[in-house]
Amino acid sequence: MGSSMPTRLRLVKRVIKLGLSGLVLAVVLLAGARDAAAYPQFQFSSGTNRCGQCHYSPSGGGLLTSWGRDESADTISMGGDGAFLHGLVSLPSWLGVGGDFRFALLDNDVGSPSGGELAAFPMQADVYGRAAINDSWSINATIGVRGIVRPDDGSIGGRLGSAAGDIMSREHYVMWRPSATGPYARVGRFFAPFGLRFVEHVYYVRRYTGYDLYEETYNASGGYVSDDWEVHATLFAPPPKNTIELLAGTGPSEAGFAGYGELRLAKTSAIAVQTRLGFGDLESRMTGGLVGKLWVEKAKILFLGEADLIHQSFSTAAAYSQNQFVSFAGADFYPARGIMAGVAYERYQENLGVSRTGRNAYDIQLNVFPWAHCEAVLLGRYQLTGQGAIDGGTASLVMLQLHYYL
Amino acid sequence: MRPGNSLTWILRAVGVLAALTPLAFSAGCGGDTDDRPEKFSFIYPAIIEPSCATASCHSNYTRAAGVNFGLSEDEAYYQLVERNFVIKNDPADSELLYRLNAKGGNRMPPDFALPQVDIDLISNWIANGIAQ
Repeated sequence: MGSSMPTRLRLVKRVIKLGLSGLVLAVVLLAGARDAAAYPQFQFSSGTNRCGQCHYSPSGGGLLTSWGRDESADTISMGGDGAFLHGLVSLPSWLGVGGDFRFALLDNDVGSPSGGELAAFPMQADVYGRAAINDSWSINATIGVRGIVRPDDGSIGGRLGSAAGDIMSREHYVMWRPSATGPYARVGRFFAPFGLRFVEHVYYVRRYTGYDLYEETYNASGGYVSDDWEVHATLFAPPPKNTIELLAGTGPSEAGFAGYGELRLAKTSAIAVQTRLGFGDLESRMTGGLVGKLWVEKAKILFLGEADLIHQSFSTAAAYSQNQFVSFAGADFYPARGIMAGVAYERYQENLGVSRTGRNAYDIQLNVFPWAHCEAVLLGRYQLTGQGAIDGGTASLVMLQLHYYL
Repeated sequence: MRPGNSLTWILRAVGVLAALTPLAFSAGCGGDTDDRPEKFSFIYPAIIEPSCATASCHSNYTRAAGVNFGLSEDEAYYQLVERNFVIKNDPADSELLYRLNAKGGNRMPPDFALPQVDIDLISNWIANGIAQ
């Protein structure tokens, strides 16, 4: 009897391991890579001052540190164990492995004659790896399967058949970071630190600033991170247009510089200034902006805002240039552990000199973290293009995401 | 109040201001005159690439319906013309405008309608000879 209990326990653990491994494998095969998920909503609200506390990346996003894993269970979720594979496996300290897997159901209506579009699709399957060479140097990489919302053959067989050709690496870099605070440098592919890095790539401040899906650039980046402030400076270049799919990217082919500086106060607020100067064959974009965050402890509300002005000039179109504006203003409420509810207003104006080139978005979002590693997201989004009904431009989206992180 | 506290409150106020700045622009601005060039060298980087060559649609990756607007301006122009999505001087018969206006098929882009002034600009570009 005394020996049967541990044996049974080992058997149960093995079954759980096999089940989880199978689930991960299935999701990897079916789903698609999306984005190094970051949650700027957790800065200050979770008691964590800077993004690099919870993520190995100094500017946040991607693989979680052991601190981040503990926080994901003890602060953010309603319970559970945030460690790799729920603590069933202990990895050596030099090795970090994680992943993000998302499945989405959506109802999208943009005014097509056939009515709204109902879709269910695997959205993300990313596996993160980090190998520490010594106390200062590490190699970091993300491998995933690209998610395709509307494939020509959307059946499970069709998705599986194309999955092997859809593998990509959005991030791969070598980093020198001798300490969690202080100077750091990294070279490789990732998003240059800039703006509010939401998970939702559809937000205008991501989509129209060079941070849409798969727009990661090749960079030489460095900076300094302290408890109260941080600065990041990055030289970036686009992925080659005609490269292997594993390394390909999307977005405008721009090379240039991005800078971001953030000052934090009393672990409750932050103000940041940022710039991005991108130069391409067809166009150049000079971006300057502000980011603000304010945590109101008594009300359990985090306010977030970003506003950017973009000067876009076109080299071949009679030297034409235009100014753009893109912004986000939102508030997130944390009524209980494991629940986050947010509202946001977004504005993008394509050309400040031409009226009716603007669009507005109103978002409402509910995130539930019932157990460590698990999240359900319900997003509602309503967009008005130009002058709405006058221009016939409205769109509505309701999306449910089921998210598992390794 | 200690100097440190004053600084804290000033910076908090700046933070709130930064968070609220977007609201100041919500009404939009600009004139009624559209002076943007009716040339593909403007329309492509300003409208088509950011709206159509996205990861899930007509990008290098996805090439929805075999259309890739993500390679280059010349390639995008070639695909629009050679596959008869635009008919020179004939916006009424150009499938691109059907799709942008959600007539006879699903709207493009599938996540929001382009501003009518952008559709008008593309229509004028077609009507006036699809200049590169």
